[in-house]
Amino acid sequence: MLAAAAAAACMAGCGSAASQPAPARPPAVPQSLDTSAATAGGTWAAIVMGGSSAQNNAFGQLFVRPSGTSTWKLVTPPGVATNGGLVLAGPDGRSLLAGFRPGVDLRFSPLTTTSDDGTHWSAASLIQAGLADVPDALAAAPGSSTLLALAQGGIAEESANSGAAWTQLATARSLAASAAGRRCSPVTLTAISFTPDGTPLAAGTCARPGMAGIFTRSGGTWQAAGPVLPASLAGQATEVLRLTSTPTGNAALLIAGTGNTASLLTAWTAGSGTSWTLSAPLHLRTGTVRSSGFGTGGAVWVILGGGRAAAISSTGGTWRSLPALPAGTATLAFGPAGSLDALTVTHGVKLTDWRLAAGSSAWAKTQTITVPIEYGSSG
Amino acid sequence: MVATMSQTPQPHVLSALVASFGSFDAAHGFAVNVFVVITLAALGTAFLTGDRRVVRAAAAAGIVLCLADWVLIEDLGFLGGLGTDPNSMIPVILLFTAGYLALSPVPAPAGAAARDAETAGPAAAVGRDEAAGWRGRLRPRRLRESLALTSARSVTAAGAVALIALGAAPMAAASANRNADPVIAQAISGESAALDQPAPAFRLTDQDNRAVTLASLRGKVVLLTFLDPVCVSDCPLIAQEFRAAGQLLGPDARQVELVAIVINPLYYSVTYTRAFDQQENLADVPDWLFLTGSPAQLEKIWRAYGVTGQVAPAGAMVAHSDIAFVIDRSGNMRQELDADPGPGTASTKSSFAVLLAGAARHTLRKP
Repeated sequence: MLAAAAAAACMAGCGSAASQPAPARPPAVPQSLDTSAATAGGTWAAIVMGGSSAQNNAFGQLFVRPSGTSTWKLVTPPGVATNGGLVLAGPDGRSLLAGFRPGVDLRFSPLTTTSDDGTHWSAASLIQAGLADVPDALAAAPGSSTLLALAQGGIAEESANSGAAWTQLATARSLAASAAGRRCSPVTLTAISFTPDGTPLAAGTCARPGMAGIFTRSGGTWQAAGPVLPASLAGQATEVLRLTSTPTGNAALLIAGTGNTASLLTAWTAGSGTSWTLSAPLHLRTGTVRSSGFGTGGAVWVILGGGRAAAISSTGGTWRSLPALPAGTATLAFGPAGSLDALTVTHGVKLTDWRLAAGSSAWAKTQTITVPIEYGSSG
Repeated sequence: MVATMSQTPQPHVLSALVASFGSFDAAHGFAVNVFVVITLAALGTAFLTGDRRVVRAAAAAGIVLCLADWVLIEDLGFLGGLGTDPNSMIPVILLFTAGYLALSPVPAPAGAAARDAETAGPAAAVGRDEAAGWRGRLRPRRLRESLALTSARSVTAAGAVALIALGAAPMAAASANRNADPVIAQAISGESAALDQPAPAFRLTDQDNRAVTLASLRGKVVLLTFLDPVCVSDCPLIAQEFRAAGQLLGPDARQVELVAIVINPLYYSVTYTRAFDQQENLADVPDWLFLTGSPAQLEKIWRAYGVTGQVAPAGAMVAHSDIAFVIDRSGNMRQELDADPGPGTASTKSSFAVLLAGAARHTLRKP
């Protein structure tokens, strides 16, 4: 009897090292395509406006506030219905690459470019599989014709010739099966980007806790490159919500945990390195992130549930809560001189810009644009 | 649409009646609607009184109104109705009837008759069957009792269900039937227009980067339309209708060319025509050409064919004509069809495909 008990204890002890219980799959945080991107050349904002998406009356709109100006203008690229929304890549001064997400019966993603703040657009190539429904589904390598796309089905693709031809780079499954993905065990891919030297980055949701699933591709293989979470969050499964390149490195917005225990962190890395600086966690009471965006130098803003919003201004900064947002705020955007803009949508067609000056505690209305939405145009 | 329904296969008397009402409705539609609204309001008010005599009159009037609607507007659903609710007036009749019956207590049988039926017993009942002769033998006691016990409510309800099923069956069959009646398409887009003029020439590039001219298609009937390769609604449907038309032509398909010309001034490259073909599984359709050219070439052809493709603001797709032309083997336009695909249901798609195939076959047979 004693031998049997000893054998059972041994088996239990031995088994625990060899067969870990399958990690619980963390729920993906739904992401809004409403976002903004600020560069030295200006600030771009993508916002879904109009009516019901079920009735094909929601349309993605694009606005730009060129550097040196204080007003926004509507520059939605023409020629394709934006029922599926717009995805932006590589805002670089006055230039931008935009992708039309699949919508209604259009199942691939046309691409288009502008080099004059959206005044004129040129049809570019396309992504036959269609862009995924995340804001960081498209990236352009600085100073080259190499593009990355995160397609529907969670497939990361690369094009070396501005989108004329695409090759598959990775899926969550292929990464999970690789040596690089073993520690994280990615279950979905959520963002792609480039390092400043043009190295592809892919990010996703880790099933195993304790690290953020960010991977770099070098020499034809993937390497784990994500930050390790602090001890207080070591037991939390983590999702990379956003990933972008900055003039000096990369920035990422992470969510660790779920529900009442969820926390937001911003991570920054310099150069093409894998050494990350993490912000202090911002505890989410509701676990909801409605939209988010980046500013120059890796600044981050987030709109949370319940009308709350917060921002971090720079690498290594701390989260600051923002004053209660104006009703209908869809997205925020960093502005000049430390200001912050809240872009609200009312009645589906009216965009209003509210500005929070540096040091101020109140939003002031500065501009209104009525967008000529063509309800019913998509059948 | 009411007048068009009269063209579906049905007795002439009914067809004439529906067509006459259709003409009247077309000329006085507002008055017809006002009449119906006022009548329904009056019926509702009558039911609210709860007075049995008033409700009886209202129920009768309501049933007459429903019958008139079922005959004149729904074209006796199971015969010629085209809408999604070809027999909806039948359950409404049931509602009126139920409302009246709910306010009317079922009369008890007369005292003596009730007592006699209870005391007579089964043997006497059988005897009565025999005495009734062949009618009694054909209607055994149990069946007669069942029928007698069946309430008016049950009979009405069963009849309504049967009529609804009878009317819904043709629509369900149409949705599964590749050869849906072309009258459905005509009800949506109207009659085609006959033409007799040379088709404007073109020289464009197909999805395989080959040059194609209209002249090079001589000897074949050409079904020609204009499609936007990044369209989100109509064009995928029209493309599928063209594809289905090609399949319906069978052996005749070898003598027919299915041709689309790009109608988007911004997204027109071969990259996009190929992407559309891949999206719509058209790459393996024989005799399918999706043609494009430079913006100047395309605009010239659009003008020549009287079609437009206008860029719209704020994320709307290019607004363009939905139109198809039938061009005979000598290069003359013979028909112009409105290609608006309507709701894009299985039955409307098959109906358009039948219409297109029929137009092509008709033109093939012409000398």
